[in-house]
Formats: sequence, C-alpha cells, structure tokens
Amino acid sequence: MASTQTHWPSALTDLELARLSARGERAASEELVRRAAGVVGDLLRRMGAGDALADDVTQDAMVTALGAISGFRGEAAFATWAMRIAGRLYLKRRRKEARYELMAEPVDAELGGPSEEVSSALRLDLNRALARLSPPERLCVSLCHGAGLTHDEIAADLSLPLGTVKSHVTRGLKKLRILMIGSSADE
Amino acid sequence: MNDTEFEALLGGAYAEPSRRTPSPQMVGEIMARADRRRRSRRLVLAMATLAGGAIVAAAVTATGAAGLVSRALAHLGAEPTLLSPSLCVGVGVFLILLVAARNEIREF
Repeated sequence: MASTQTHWPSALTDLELARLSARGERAASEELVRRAAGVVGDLLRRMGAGDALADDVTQDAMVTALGAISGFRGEAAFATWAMRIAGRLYLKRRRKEARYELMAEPVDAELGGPSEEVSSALRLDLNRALARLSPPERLCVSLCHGAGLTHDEIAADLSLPLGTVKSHVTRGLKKLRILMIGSSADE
Repeated sequence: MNDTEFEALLGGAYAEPSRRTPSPQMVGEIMARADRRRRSRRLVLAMATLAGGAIVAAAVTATGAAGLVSRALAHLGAEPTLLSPSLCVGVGVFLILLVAARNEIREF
C-alpha cells in the first residue's frame, strides 16, 4: 500500500495530474516536470541550444507551464504543450541571433545519402540528421515540427518575412527526408 | 512515404520520451520557482483585493462622514455647499503629473 501511495502520480494521465497540480498538489506538479523536462531539453538542443541554455530555458518553460496549468486542456500531452512554450521562450531569448542566422543566405551542403542505415532508433537518426542541417533550417524545422509553432507564429516572433521561414522549413524537411529515409518527396 | 506521413513520423520522433531524466536538483529548482511565483501571485491578488476594499470602504466612510458634517453644520445654521468634484479631479491629475515628473527626473 505504501508503495502505491509513493508512486501514485506515475499511474495518472497528464490531464489528471494537471488538475491536481492546479489544486496545489506538489507531487502532481513534480511528476509533470519529470515527464516533460527531458523532451523539452532535447527539443532545445535540437534547435541548437547548448546544454546550459537548454537547461535554463527548460526551467523557464516548466515554471511558465506550471503557472498556467489551469489552462491545460489535455488535447495533447503535457510535454507537447511545454515544448510549444519552450519554443517561444527560446525564440524570445535568441531573437537577435536567430534573426541574423535566418536572414543569411542559405548554404546548400552536399548531403550524400542517409547518415547511416535507416535504423529503428529514429531519435538517433533525427539527431544525426539535424546535425547536418544549417542552423536556420534546424531551428525552423524544430520550431515547426517539434514545438508545433506555425510558420506565421515563427515569422511574427522573429519579425521576419513569412517566405524566409517557409523556405528554411521546406529546405530543412527536404534534407531531413533524404538523410533519414534516403529519398526525397520528388522521387 | 508521402510528405504528410514523413511529417507525422518527424513529429513522433521529436515527441519521443527523452533518455535524459531531469536531475532531482533541477526538479527541485523548478518547483521552488513555481512555488515562489504562485505565492507572489497570491500576494498581489490579496493586495489588490485589499486596496479595492479599502477604496470602497474609504468612499463609504467619507460619504457618511460628509453627511454627518453637513447635517451638523445645517443644525448650527450654516449653509454647507458641496465642493465641486472637478477640483478633486484637478488635484489628482496634478499629483499624478508630479509623480511622473519625479520619475522622469530620476530616470534622467
């Protein structure tokens, strides 16, 4: 019985935990943090953040998410919700550098084939493939497909033309497709 | 694999559970910050409620007191006249401008 009491939060859904957290249940908030902090940190590193910045923004995102927990409706996982918050906070922090990077001329590097044989460890493939994208492509693809921001939101947050963001996402996706599954959409 | 399928695959890869588990120190720091934020929000809300209540109480008290004074003066035979509210508004605006000017000078 004691062990059930100790581990009760892990058996609950994100929405149940969020409701308890909104009522001030500390253990529920801690469980939500444990569920989301890792994946949020991964997303930030994939966007190009160093370990220190990723940890810093992860903390900010978690604090913001817990502060707004009563607004969590459970339509997606809590981690997905937190990733979106983290994406926006990261953009806010790196607004100047990100704008500069995104405005730079795109460089077409030689990609070759998939980074390795297409493996079941997709995460590993994604990390390797992202490492071979240019920083703006990595940032835009991760904001769009990782944090779930729309092209419009990214363009507005960075005060950049929509076309610039769209072209980085399109180029990034095309390269990722070749690197991860070894074919482009045209084939 | 078409574009939609690939994008779904990509979204899934981003959302895969992390291999890095947050350290207990990090979880502790996040919880401490969230608690501080929650407490300061409650404090601000309580102070705003208190200030609002105090303003209402002051207005009710002032109206009552003004009525009493007015009746007392009338009893003494004097004819009290009400102060024009525009004068109070004018004094308020003057004080606000004074505070704004002081802040500007301090910033400068």
